[in-house]
Amino acid sequence: MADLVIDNIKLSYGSVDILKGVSMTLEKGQIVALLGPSGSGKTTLLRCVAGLEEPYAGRIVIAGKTLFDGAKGINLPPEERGLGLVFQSYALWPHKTVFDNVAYPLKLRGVSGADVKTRVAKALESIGIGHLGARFPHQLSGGQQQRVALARALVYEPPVILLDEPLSNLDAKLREEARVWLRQLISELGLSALCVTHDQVEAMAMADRILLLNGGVVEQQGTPEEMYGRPATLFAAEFMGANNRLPGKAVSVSGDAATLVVGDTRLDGLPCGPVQEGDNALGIVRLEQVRVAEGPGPNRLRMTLTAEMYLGERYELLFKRDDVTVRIFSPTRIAGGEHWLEFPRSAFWVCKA
Amino acid sequence: MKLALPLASGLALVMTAGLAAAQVPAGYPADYAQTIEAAKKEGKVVVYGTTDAAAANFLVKDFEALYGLKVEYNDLNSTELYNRFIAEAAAGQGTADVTWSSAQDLQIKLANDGYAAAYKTPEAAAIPSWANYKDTAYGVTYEPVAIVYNKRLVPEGDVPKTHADLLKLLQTKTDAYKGKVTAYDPERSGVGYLFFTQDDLAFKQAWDLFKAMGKAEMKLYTSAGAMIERVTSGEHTIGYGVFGSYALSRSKKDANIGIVLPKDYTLIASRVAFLSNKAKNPNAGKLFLDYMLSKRGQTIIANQAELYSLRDDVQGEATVAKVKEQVGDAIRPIKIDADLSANLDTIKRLKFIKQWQAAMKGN
Amino acid sequence: MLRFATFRFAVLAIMASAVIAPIGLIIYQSFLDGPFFTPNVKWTLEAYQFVIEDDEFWDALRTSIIVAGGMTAIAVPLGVILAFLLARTDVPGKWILEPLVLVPIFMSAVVLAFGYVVALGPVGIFSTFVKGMIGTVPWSIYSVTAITIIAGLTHVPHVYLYTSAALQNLGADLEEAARTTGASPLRVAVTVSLPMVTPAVLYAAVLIFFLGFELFGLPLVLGDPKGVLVLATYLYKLTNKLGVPSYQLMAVVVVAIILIAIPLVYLQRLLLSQSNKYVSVRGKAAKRAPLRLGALRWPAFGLIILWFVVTVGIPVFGILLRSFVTTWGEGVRLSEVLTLSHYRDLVDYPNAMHAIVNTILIGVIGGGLAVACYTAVSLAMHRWRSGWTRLADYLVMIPRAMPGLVAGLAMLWLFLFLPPLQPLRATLFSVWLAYTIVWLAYGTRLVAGTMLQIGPELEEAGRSVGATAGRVARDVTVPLARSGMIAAWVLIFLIFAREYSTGIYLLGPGTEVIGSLMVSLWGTGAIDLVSALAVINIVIISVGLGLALRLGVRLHG
Ligand SMILES: Nc1ncnc2c1ncn2[C@@H]1O[C@H](COP(=O)(O)OP(=O)(O)O)[C@@H](O)[C@H]1O
Ligand SMILES: [Mg+2]
Repeated sequence: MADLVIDNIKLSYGSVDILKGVSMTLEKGQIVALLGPSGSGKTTLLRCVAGLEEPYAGRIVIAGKTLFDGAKGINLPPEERGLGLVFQSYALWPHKTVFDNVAYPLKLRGVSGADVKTRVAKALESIGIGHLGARFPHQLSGGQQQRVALARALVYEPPVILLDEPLSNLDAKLREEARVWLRQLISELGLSALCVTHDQVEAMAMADRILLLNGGVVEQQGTPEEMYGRPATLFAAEFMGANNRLPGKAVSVSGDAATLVVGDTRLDGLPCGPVQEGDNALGIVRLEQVRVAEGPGPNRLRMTLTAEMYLGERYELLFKRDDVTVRIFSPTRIAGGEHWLEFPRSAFWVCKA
Repeated sequence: MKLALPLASGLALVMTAGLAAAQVPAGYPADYAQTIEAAKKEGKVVVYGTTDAAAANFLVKDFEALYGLKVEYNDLNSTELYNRFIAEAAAGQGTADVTWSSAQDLQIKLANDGYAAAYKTPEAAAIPSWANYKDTAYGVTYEPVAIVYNKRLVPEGDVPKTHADLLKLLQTKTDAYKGKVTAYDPERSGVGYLFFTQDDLAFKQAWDLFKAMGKAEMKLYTSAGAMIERVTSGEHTIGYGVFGSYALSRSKKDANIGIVLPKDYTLIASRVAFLSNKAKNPNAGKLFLDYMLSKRGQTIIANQAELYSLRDDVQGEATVAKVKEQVGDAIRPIKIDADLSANLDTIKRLKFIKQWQAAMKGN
Repeated sequence: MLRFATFRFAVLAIMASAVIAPIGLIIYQSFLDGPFFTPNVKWTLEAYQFVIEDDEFWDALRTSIIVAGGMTAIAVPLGVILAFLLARTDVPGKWILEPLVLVPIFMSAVVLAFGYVVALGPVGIFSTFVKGMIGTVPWSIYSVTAITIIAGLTHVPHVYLYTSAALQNLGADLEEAARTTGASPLRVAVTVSLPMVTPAVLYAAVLIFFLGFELFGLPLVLGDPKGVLVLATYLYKLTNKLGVPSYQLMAVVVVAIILIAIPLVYLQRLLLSQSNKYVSVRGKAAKRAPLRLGALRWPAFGLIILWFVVTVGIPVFGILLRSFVTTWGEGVRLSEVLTLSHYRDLVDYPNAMHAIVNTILIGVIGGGLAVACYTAVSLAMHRWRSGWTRLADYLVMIPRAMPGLVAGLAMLWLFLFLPPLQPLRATLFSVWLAYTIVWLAYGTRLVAGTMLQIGPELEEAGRSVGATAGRVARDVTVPLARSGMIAAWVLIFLIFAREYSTGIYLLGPGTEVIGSLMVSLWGTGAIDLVSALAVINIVIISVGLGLALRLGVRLHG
């Protein structure tokens, strides 16, 4: 059974529509990433679930319990929703010690003094900051603060935990470690989590499913593989990875095939989003999908190598022809001059420009 | 005010208090004992007065010693007293048993408006008739309205001995006294209005005087404090129409203050007291009013409170005799009568003020 | 949730009735032809007609506008400069300057004004000195200009408080970024910091302009000699003009001031919503290095000291001197008139000791209780997305439209004619309530201001882990606002310690305070005692301030 159901949530600030009907489900034990560019409404959606914002329509249900129902006028206050929420800024109370921060939710629930002690200790222990209980938040590093915030949200074992860009305040190296650690922790504890992020790599690394938001609507949702390998729209295609864009014209579009004409070359691929014959279109292909071919052939383009960059484990090469630029990865250097580049049909998407 | 003195004298009074208590004062009717009895049951008397607490305290302490009654003395300015009294009377929540205010006209208005209880004091015979309004409201003090001047800065020859002198001084030495004369503002101060309208009645050349004051750019204030302070500092040098009582107590501490009681006529102001008809402690109120008018109370008024006694039979510093010593018969008590409340008539008042404003511009 | 909503509405209702009762009474009175409590009063517009036809009203209104505008023009730039210097630069002696800057708020205006008379009046100590040197006194403190300047100087702390709070909320990185591009500290101040705090500054400017309309003490003392009238002194004059106090006329003037207040409150609300866009307060405030003034350090220090000396030093010196001499002025050698007798007299003065004790009581305990009330109001309105908060904003401000004179009278009426309040009339409670209502706007702004500085996510975190709104208020908001509340307590203590006009009709034997004693002594000419009392009042206030600072209270920031 789905742990969390969000059904057609709509929210506006004054006359500005922020969420324009967002629906999703979160299965038990899953991590769903709310992905989207800044300002797309991710935080707002999360806050709707937590009860900190009030939508004007839609429904939010957790484990069969209705938290919000615009039609029925149900809107449980945040404290009655029993969720765990980790803020982007961590929002640790500066006047309480780490122990008191984590103990507070338990005290609210009337847990007895001795129990509080053991449970807080266990929570702190389980996330590796057992020795920091007596400190105040300002005496902690960013990573430690993040763990305390997490401990505070987990200590009362909420059915679902909500995380708002939990890693964004950490530096790059720490972030990658924390990502793994967080993923493991959540699955070990058997939690369901809804996690906001604007970083598609992070989303793919952590989540079982991704919900891509754009301008207050769901652009696409699915597993990381689906999202990356089969984007449903130009936006999704562009947002999920590093791409090449080849401007041209769409010809012969059918159910699962489309052809793009670039100059005098025809490139076959898959249609992406609502594209029709005769449309100005873009061919989208991930950098790593393009490869250098021996000679001419179908779905190949002759281009001139104009620059190369050494990235450590590989090279990035830049090709040009007229106004078309293509970047590719290559394990080795190649000679200058003209080359044939192949765009595999199954990874070449033709989208309306 | 002699503030160090009361301890000793207060002690002495307490000693005699035990003897005097409950005794009907000499010359009072025998049934006064019942009033005293009833007052004792009431236990206290509430007084609203404009006299500052320091001066009033001499009376309060002596009265408390005499009758063993507590006095709740509230020190207010005359407008506050009026505002508070009528509001409290209307609310029926208890108010002063005795009001005692230097705003004579407001007091008479209150009496006329039915706020006062008629009561013929046993002291009536000793009180001048001008100070007795219909056996209801009584003048308690005898305060000459004085001219004060700065002894340092006003040459002996310039010191005005009469109103006419002042007129002449201002007319002949207009420039020397420009901005140097000060008085209560009749527009903003009830006392100022009262004094200047009395001048209008008493002095033929009153309006000439007012015009001369205007030409000399007289400065007008709303309180004795502001006036006397500026006279002693020399910012102004002549203060016209100041309560002699305030001037007297100030001059004792400050050698710079000279006092003149004008010899052509000296207005006599008096703080008017009456009993409230809404009194919670009517009998104690009677006792306090009678006490203030009694020889014993008046002696304290003359010698400690320095407010000037209006009884001829009282000896001391601030007494009728002392005033007469200086100005002879040229005394002109402001009669406590119905005319006073006519003073408050709006139309009459606005007319006077208009004329006054013109005079202040010198025409 | 429900319970907290109940709390909100209860507080709003209590506050509304505390404000509307006196104001409503005044407005009602303005439409009557006599005191509202006399039998047979009739509805009429005559009072409005009288005031509108009275030239003096328009004169007073004009003067008030000039004074209010002028003092705003003086106080705002000075306040901003002081705030910037103290909040952002390495000006020396900050520890002493910061509390000093606030002192004028706590000085009774009448006392200050009288101090100026003694020091700078036509025969004042400094004036005669200058006259001795150059033959004339090149200034007059009795003009509208002088009143405006003095009012402007004494209102600097208000601007300072708001601006320095805003500056402190501003990220230091913005300024540092500007420095690295090569801007001098002055450039940074003018081009980066100032624009960022503009809404706060404008907010303070509107407040000062409004305070300009209820100025009383300064124009009363300094406007006297030349008959300069402002609205509040005009109101005072109305009391006597017709012989008998006419409440309806006074009420009309108050209505006029309220009418001026309403658009100003509207403007403030607008500015405040503007300022929310600028100011971003986060949980972590990074320690920042102050801007280095370099060679300008000491001149900047000098500027602050100069302002302080002119605004506080000179008048306090005047009062202090007056309290130790029997006379003063032209031709007096001060060494010959020195005395301690005023203080001795004061010890013997009936009730003087009582008044001093009461003043401290009402300041310390009353101030504390008042801050508790202001906290309740602030909590109730805190992050409440509701139209009711707009109503509350207006309600909070309106008592300020009543000059103390009228506020006192209205309070007397309430305690007389509202049965539940009647038994409390003769107690210090009535005085306390009156003070608390009149300073409502000031107090709630102080407390609400600190609450707004708490990052909303700290409170939301409380809700999300299961605390009700009430619990969050108790466990998060109030503890985090505590230092701000203590600072508010100190400020309110100081203000209550100098206040009196509001309580004048409620004070009686046993409940007198220093302020009321001063007024009655002033009336009898005992200025020597008044100045001694004023000095004692200043000492009490300084001790209070010093104690608070010793205990580590931060009055701002
Ligand atoms: N308090 C507010 N008032 C008006 N608009 C807001 C407010 N908070 C957020 N928004 C707008 O709502 C949109 C979604 O914001 P948010 O959910 O924070 O985006 P993000 O996806 O970056 O978390 C943004 O366009 C933002 O400008
Ligand atoms: Mg966000």
